[in-house]
Formats: sequence, C-alpha cells, structure tokens
Amino acid sequence: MEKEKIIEVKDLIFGYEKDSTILKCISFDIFKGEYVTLIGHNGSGKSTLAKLLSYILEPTSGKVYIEGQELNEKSIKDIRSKIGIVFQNPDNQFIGSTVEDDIAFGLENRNIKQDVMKKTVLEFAKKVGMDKFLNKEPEELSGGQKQRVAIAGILALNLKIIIFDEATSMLDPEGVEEIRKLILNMKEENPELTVISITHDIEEAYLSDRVIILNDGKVYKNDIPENVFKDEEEMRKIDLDIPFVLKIKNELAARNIIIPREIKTIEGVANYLCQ
Amino acid sequence: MRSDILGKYTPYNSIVHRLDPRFKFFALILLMVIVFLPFGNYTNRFIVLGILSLIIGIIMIVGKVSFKSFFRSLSSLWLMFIFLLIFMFFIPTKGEYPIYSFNENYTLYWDNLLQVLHIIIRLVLMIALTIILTSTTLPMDITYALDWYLTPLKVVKFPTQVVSLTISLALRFIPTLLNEANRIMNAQKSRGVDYNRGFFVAKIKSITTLIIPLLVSCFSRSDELAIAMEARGYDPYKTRSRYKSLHFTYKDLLALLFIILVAGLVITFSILSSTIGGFDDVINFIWGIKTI
Repeated sequence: MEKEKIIEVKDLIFGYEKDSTILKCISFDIFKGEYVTLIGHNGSGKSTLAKLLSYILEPTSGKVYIEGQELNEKSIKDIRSKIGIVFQNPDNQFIGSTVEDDIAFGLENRNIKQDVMKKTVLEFAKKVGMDKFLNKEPEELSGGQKQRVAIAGILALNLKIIIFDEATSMLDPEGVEEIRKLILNMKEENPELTVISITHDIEEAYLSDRVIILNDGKVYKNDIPENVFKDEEEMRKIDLDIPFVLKIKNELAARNIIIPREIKTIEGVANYLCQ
Repeated sequence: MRSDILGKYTPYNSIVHRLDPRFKFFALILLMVIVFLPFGNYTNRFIVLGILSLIIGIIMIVGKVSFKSFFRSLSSLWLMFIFLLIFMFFIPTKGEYPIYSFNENYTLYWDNLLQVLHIIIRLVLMIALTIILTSTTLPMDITYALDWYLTPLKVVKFPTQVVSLTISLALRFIPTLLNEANRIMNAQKSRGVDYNRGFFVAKIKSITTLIIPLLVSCFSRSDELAIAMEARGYDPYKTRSRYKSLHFTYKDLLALLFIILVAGLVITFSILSSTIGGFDDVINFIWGIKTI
C-alpha cells in the first residue's frame, strides 16, 4: 500500500552567507502517521532545518511541500494551522499567565466558544498529566512540565503534524524522559498524527519509526533505527553514539543472548531477562 | 528573590480575591482620589485619613495581605520622611511652634512635621491600595478589567485586545526576567563584578554588566515568543474568543455600594470642610446644631 506523503523536502539548500552553505541539497519524505527523528551532532544543520520547516528561515533554494502545498510567504498562514511546533526554550513559548490560559491561547486564536474551550483545555491538560496544575504560573513549574503544557496547547488544536524543535534539549533527564513517554503515548492514541522530532537525544531516536541523520549539511542516513544504529564505529565517525539499550543488546548478543527487536527500553530488556 | 516582590499575587481564596477585577480596579482609582482630597485643617485631615486607613487596613486583613512584608518594604520611606523634613527646613514657611530654629528663614515648625507626616500617610495608603489590588488579583484578570474599560475605544478602531495582550505578556515575563537578572548577577559576581561596593560611577559601571546581557536576552526572548505566538495562530487583526469571562455578582454590587458610600461621605466632608471649617463645625453642621 502506498503511504500518503505529508511532508516533502526537495533539494533544500540554505546558507546564512552566499558562499557558505549549511544545508547542502537535502531531500526526504515524511509519510502520514510516521514518527521521524532527525538527529545530528552540533553544527550538522539540524536546527537550521527545523527553522526551514517552520518557515522561520527562508530556503536559499529548494522547496518544502506540506500536504502538497508549497511552503512560502503566501501559504504560511494556512500551513501554520496544520503544523504545531514545540520549541526549545520552555519559558519563551509559555504565553498565558497560567497553565490553563496557555493551553487556551491557540484556541482563543481560533475564536472557539468559551464553554467548548473549557472542556477542551481540561481534556488535553489531563492527557499530558497537567490537570492538577491548571492554575499554576510558569514560575512554579519545571521545564518538563512547561513543555508538557506546550504540547497540550498544540494537541488541543487537533493538528496533523507536530514538530518538536529540540524540545528536550533544555530539560533535565527526568523532563527528557517525561517528554519521550508523552510522545509515544500521543502516537499510540492517535496513529494518524505525524511527529517530527529534531533532537540530539539518541535514546528518543531509537524509539521512533524512522531516523534521519544529518551530517555536514547532508542526509547521511534515512532508515529504521535498527539499521541506522547497526554500526557503532560508523556512528562514532560522525560524532554520534548509539543508544544505551542497543549497546546492552549488543553486549548480550555477544554472549549469545538475543533480545527481540520489539524491546526498546531498559525496563523491557530487564523484564525479558528475568522471564 | 521571587517571594520578596511587593504586591505579588497570593493565591488565597478570600472575598477580596473573588471580587470582580473590574470593580477592584474602579475602587482602587476612586479610593486613591479621595485619599488626595483636601480636608481643611490638620485635625480634619488626620481624622479622615485615620478612618480611611482603618478601612484599608480591614480590607488588607480580609484579603490576607501580609502586613509584615508590607511594612518591611515601606522601610525606605523613612529616607523620604527625613528628606522632606530637611526640604521643609530650607523652605521659608510660617508656623507657631518651632522645633528647631537656625534663624528666621530657616526654621522647622511642628506644622512642617505634620505636613510631612500627611504626605507620607497618603503615600502609604496609595501603596497599600495598589498592593491590595495586585496581591489579590491575577495579572491576567487585571488585564481583562483594563480591556473592559478600554472597550469604548473600539469604536474608534483602537486595538484594545492587542494592548491588553501586550500588558499581560509584560506581566507574565516579570518573574522570568527577574530570575534571569538574578542568574546574570550571579554569573557576573563569580567573574569578579562587585555590585555592592564602590561609589556612584563604579556602581553604574557594574550595573551595565547586568543591564546589557539582560537586554540582549530580552530581545532574543521576545523574538522567540513572537514566533511561538505566530506558530499557534495568533493574528492581531483577527477576532479572538476569550477563555475566561468576568462575572459581576451581587457581592460586587454590595462592595461597589459600600465603596461609593465611603467615597461619597469623604467627598461631602471634603466639600463641607472647605466651606465651613473645622471638624467640630462640620459635625455640628451635620447634626443640625450649626448652620452656615
């Protein structure tokens, strides 16, 4: 069955200055309902790509299509109503003065009726586990909690695509774990949802459906995580590590203990071994 | 650092907290005006201010505004008190009972002391009123109230929603920026900047090491915020719905009547005292003993 393309990136080139390009001809497709992670070491151009996808920057050449619609000055307003973006800094995207106000912000922009809004806010606050914090101000929340509020605000808009623009890079390990789990839950609940996560968290990449590795402004690999992280040496060469779970699996495999492919977490491995 | 900010919203559930912010805003302005009305001689002034202080004090107790932090934050007013007294000393004034006399022109009278006290009390009351509003009302609600008062301007196409959103964003970022300032200060201290020592010029110089990084981060923050708002579909020219709405209940009506009654009495007294004179005379006039 042919999968439906939802994002198409075609020959994307970008440079802040004319003679030096950061992104050198990038092309890839993302299909409906996929969970794709974009990884790369610092300076690989992944944050630039994130800005291009959300049209904060304009490409030097090449095109981005979202649901067949070209991303440009004219279509941006239309396209922004299809894409939700979770940004890096938890503070700078907290718009409302309390949790509920922030979740409601996007709904207010859509001119949704008050009674409907109240229900929606509560529903999505529950989904991200923030329903007990509705009246809290951003200063009273942790980074992970603020990001969860941002996610709730986007989920409430019922969008087709969510881009995580290094959403976990400013969080503590617990916050990172919270967001990782939340993304998986989100996907489980709504398989139609397309998630693109630009991240440096290889553990998260391992949990996704597909990994795109950027290196030196080019797509270095574009495959399922098992294949991408197969060769540890190769990953080292481009300054990336392989996920911790995979390392353990490899070590166990060397001792003739084969862990099934579906098991992707440390807890899973531990449970499997204890069986 | 955060908990020390004067007038920060305290999440209690008192009657003052639950009142309609539009009413609170109105009451604040009204009471501020009547605090500054003239009441004739000093006896009159202090009696009226005493009554007003009592009312405001009761509101503070009901609204669970901390007196301790209130008075602690007022401690710097002593400086102003002394400054005003010195100021009075150099201004040629007339009085009956001198406290200290240098010569005819430079004399400090008891009257001056009362005058300064009068100014200070009015200032304290004004600060108290503002603090009652800000510590019992969410910044967002104050913004809603302000927006409501600006509604008539919509007729002339004044972008009231933009203004109220701007204000609420500014209020929302105050604690964030304070934390940031604290962080920068600590970072600079660890690099050897001393914010406490030195004279005027040295202090200004050390402050620039705080201000410039703070401004830079402010700009990048606002940039990111603008992008985040746009990404969530904000368009200043589109009609937006409201998540919260304000409700004017019978409690607000009662409170409004009470405040209008107080204001009415004080204003009447102010007018009477300017035409009749002393407090006793006004009281006698009210009881019908004396006529003009």
